[in-house]
Amino acid sequence: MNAASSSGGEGRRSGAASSVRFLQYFESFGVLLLLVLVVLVASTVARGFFTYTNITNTIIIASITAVTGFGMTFAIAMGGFDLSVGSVQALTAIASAMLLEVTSVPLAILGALVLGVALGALNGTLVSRLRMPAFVATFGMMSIVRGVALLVTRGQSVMITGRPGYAALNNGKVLAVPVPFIIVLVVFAFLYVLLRHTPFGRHACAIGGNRRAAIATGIHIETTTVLVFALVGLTAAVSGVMLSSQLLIVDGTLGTGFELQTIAISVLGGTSLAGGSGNLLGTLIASLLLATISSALNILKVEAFYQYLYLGLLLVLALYLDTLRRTFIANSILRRR
Amino acid sequence: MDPVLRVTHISKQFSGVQALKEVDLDLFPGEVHALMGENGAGKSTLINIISGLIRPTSGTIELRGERVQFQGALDAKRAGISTITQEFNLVPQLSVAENIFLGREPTGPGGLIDWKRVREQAAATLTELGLDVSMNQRVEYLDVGDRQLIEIAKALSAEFGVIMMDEPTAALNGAEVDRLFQIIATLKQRGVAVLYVSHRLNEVFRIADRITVFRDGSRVNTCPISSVSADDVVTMMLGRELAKAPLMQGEATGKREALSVRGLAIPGAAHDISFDLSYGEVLGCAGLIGSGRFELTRALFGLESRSAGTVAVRGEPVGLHNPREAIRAGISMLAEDRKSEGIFPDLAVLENLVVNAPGARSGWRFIDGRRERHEYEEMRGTLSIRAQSPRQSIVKLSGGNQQKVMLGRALVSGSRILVLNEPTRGVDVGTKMEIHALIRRLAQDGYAILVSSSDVPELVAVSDRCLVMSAGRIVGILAKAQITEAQITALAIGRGLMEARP
Repeated sequence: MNAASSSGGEGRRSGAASSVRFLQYFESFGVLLLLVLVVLVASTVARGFFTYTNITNTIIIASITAVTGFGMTFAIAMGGFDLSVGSVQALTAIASAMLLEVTSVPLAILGALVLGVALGALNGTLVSRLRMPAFVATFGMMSIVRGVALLVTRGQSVMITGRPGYAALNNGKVLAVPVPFIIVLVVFAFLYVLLRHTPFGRHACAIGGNRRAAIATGIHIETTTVLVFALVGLTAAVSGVMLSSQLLIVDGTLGTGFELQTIAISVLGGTSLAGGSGNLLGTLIASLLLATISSALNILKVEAFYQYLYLGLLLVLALYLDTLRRTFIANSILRRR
Repeated sequence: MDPVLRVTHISKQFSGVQALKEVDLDLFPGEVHALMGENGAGKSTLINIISGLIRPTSGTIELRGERVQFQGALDAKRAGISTITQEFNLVPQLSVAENIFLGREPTGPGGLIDWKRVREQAAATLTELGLDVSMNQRVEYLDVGDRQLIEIAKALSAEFGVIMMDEPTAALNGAEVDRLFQIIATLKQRGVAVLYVSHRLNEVFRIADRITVFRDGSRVNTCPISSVSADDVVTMMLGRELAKAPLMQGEATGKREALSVRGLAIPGAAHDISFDLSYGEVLGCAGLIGSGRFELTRALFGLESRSAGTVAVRGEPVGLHNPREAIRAGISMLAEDRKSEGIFPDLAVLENLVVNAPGARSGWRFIDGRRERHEYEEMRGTLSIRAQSPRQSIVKLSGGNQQKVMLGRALVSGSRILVLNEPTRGVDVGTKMEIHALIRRLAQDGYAILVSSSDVPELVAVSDRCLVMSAGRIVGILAKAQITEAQITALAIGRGLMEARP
């Protein structure tokens, strides 16, 4: 997506220009290349990786991360990010589970989604109206929402029983495609159209790319900010519902470290933390990459603690490549003057 | 008495361009020496040479009778030469006292900072300057005027013998200027030599003892201020005498009134701004840095708040609290600095162009790709934008083509009133000519255009009328026949203000 908007230079064949081109392609396709490599390696090294069951499970795990990753990508494109997604995921999962005790499946899901949107809008309001940095506002919300999640459950687990319809959100299949993956595709399509084909999405990118210019252009900065964060809250709630339908037992500690995962897949997928553009397809592929690595390591009986290690390493690598790209671009623009 | 600083036959060439030609200048202790000249006359080059930032191609600098060669700014500082520019070298998070002694803190036993001495000396300096700020105050809480005085306090406490001030009043209000001048008087009493660079005639006549005028890199004259008149100085600066014809207030040249500004005031920048702009007319807007010109254009686009006055579009008063209201009222602005306030570097050429188009303003609909494409093609034709494709990244275009895209953005918004800030800054000569022709063509098509520019020949080339600002006021509105570079410059440096005073 990014390549489409920025490829086709002026035919300058200097070293820096071709480096920029390489980094651009890497930004868009590098993560796909990595995914293919990892799948190939995992299929040969880890026995039992390339089975229908395992692939399905991997896709389901990837789907839950990807859904919120899309929202995160949107926020990063606008020059922000949301650290509270893990807490929101936990609270909405709990809300959904608790609502299921008193009401129908659609209403429980709706309740959870509304809660997610409200929490996201609150984040957005803190950032836009109170002019708090996204880091501070969502960092605070991360703790507040986590506290609420632990308080309403009193630290206990909430079980979801006798709701086959709800469980089908996780284990159901349509034409052999797992339902979670269908949810991912729907959310992807929705956000893709929003980002690329509506003024709203373009304005979000404009704010992330050059805030001062966005103000001078008369873009509704505050409204756009609130809506983008509400969108992130919505995607966190969708993943909360998906997670609870998978686990069928939820508690207040769900989703810790989720913010790191979702930011990591956004950046790995080629969305620059500097803001200005978002690569949703890259986010989807990066979520598959992470889930594949986890799955392979599981089969190889590598301790789960290593997950933090490789996640951090991948994140640093992706950020380093992004910094390289920005530096090259800055230099090639400067040289022009 | 011997001069504290004497520069002799200083020349400087920048890649073939002769910025300074054999200039001489001397500064005596206790003297305020004004240095005047048009932009590009070589004032800044000389200041930079004396402060050690650049080295002269030839010539000598003598400090207290001894020849010196500065290798860098630190050398000049050590030798007792301080430069106060628009950009302050203060650390906002530190206190006033800490800033005054930054980098030369008196130390006691064990290399620890001797805070007692810091406080005593800082207090003494502040008292001497008559500054009513607490030395424990953090600099971030001080306004621009106070910050500048802290810079002077720094120079004073370090016992600098020479203080050079480059446009020190550009960002100050009237009361702050008065205070600065009192302090300059104190500096004089202490025997400090002050080299005072300014574009403002009235200031120079208030405080200077002698004046040196540069033109095109050469010194025109140095003489006691009492021996010249303001007109003499203008003549020296411009190299020719200026007709003494009374200034006509040019009348709006177009037919229908587009914009009518009455009594506009922008806190700290401009006041009593009244003018009209018609459809079909190009109104130039001239003024030096700090004249309020920049703030005026931003106020017309809702980026600067005003404290008084009305703005009417086609007779209807408009609010202009933010750019959205301005666009709704039919006013679009070309940002002064397209890099910081214009382009969206991650978006494509087309996206940058149409971001303001009526169809793209509301968020909740699909982007009409065909319509955008149509708007793009139309603008590409009108402005002859040279881009490979509408999907090309904007940062890959040349400065001139980027500027055309920015102009196109203002046009597709549907506004008929255009406020163009520095329309040809950072573009090549060919594009500059194209943009000038375009501005004239747009006026013929009925647009009302305000061109604000620091490029005086540009204003002469495109304007039907030209208003000139100085010290926050409109000092003249020139009719077409009167618009010359000399006339604009003379007004901008404050000749009108001088004449207005008894």
